Amino acid sequence: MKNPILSGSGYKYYLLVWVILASSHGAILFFYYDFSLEISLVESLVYNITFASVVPGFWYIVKFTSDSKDDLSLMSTHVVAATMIVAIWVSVAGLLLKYLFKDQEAYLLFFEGAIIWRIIIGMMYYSISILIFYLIKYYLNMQEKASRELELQALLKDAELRMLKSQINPHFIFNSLNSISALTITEPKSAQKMVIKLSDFLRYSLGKDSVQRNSLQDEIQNISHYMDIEKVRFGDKMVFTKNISDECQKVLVPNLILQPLFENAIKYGVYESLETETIDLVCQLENDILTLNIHNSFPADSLARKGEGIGLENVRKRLQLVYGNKATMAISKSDNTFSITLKFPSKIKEK
Amino acid sequence: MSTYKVLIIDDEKLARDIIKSYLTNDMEAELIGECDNGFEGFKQINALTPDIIFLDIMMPKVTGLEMLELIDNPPVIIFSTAYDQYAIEAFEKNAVDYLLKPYSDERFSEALNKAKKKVGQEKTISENIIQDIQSANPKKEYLSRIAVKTGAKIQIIPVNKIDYLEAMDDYVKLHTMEGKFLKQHTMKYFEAHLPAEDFVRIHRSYIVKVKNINRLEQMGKDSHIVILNDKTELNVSRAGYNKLKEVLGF
Repeated sequence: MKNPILSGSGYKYYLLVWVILASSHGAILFFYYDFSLEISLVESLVYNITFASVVPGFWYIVKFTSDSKDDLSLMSTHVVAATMIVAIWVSVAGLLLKYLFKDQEAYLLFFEGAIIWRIIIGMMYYSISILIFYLIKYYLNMQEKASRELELQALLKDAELRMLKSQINPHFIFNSLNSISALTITEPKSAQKMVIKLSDFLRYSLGKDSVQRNSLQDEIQNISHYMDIEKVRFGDKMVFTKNISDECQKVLVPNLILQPLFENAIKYGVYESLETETIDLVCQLENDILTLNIHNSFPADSLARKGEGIGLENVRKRLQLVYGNKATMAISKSDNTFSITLKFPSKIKEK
Repeated sequence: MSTYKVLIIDDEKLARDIIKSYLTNDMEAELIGECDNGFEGFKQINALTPDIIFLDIMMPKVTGLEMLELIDNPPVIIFSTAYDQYAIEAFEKNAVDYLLKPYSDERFSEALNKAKKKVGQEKTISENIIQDIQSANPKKEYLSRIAVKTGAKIQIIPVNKIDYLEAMDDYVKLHTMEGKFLKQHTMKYFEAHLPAEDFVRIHRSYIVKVKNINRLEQMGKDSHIVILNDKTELNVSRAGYNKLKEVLGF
């Protein structure tokens, strides 16, 4: 923390305060006690300039003592400091004035009687400056804490988003590579196509920042690569259709938000089935709300296995983090169909 | 020259294709069939009695490992899968090798040669090795479903559908809402592999699902019985009583 008087424009207010104090001081001497202008001016300047020049130093007392463990030691620190500072101030300024006005009888008489008041005023100045410094310090601490809190929250949110972002299933990659390995022997041309699709899919899915948004068009392009690859693996067992209205294409959506939903659909549909299973995607835009529906069939006799729902739960949390309560995710399930509907605003204010 | 009958069980056509293609390099191996799921695999193993099978693990309905449990005299097995986490279980099932997809021609031949040597040999389970693997890998996964045979059919029973298990000589009888099934295994195995918070071994002959217990009654000075939701009464041993006490917290 920087010294509030010596840094920034703090010194302007500080000087103003002392100009007022010194003027009042001089005015009282001149008008009330009827001293000459010279005496009034010099005494006011000597006392006020000397005190004003040491006050900025009090900041360091405040800065370094505030963390003391108990109130008693804090109090005694200030009592000692105040006593020393005021004693030095009163004697230095006093000696100087006594020397300057050594032949002014009336003034010297006044001076002797006023020493006790100098001490009281010095103590008061000290107390007030310390008090103000404590307030400033408290305020600065609060500000710093608030900004740190904000920073921390942003970091947390970022980390959470990163964590919730779908991770590509490594088995998908290895199984795809195995398919490619088979194709290189029988159909090199198809193998090449699949390598390119897998590369495009990986390039898009890896190394994307989790807070980034992409157009729905790009997301669907990526999903299509994914589905094409699965289609090579599963052939006629999988039928994928999509119906996307034109106005949706450019809408920005959280990147890879669809990926876990499709993985889920395939995992519990095609992977578990001996028959043909379908996956349908429908996207619509109405009143600035984007609706994404993924509908898949699955074998009626399949058994729920462990691990179901984590991918979906992550999508829900992610939407919540990005859109707050403006996003919804609804799931409906029958004996052999599963349907997920996401709704969220097509426009979002960027921070 | 002796030939070895080979069966491929994998749900992906391309995965079967590459095995077929690698097999053509080996004059001694004769492909006798291919299956795209565990039910079919179970049937074909019994019908064709292959010497060696290439077996995928993640397949619809029945996993390769579940299917294997139901076969009385399994042939020599080479697993072929993209999943590395089943290796321990696979070797427990006496697999000769575990190929991780995708694999090379050389790696395939190595596995096949190992398998050929093993064909016709007495099966010896190297218990020590399995124990070593297990202790090196203490992470325990509980069963979530159990595959059973009813006649020539395979049935998959989710663990949460089991009411209680009863010892029957070399078998364990699974009592479920949908009927009773026999499974060739020991009580000890089930005691270790069923979720410990849901199932308690209350007696030498019984493992019961805690949620299915209706009440516990004292019979004599030192003996108790549990009464299940369907009014079935089962004896509780003294050790079983203590375990129940711990799980139910009374």
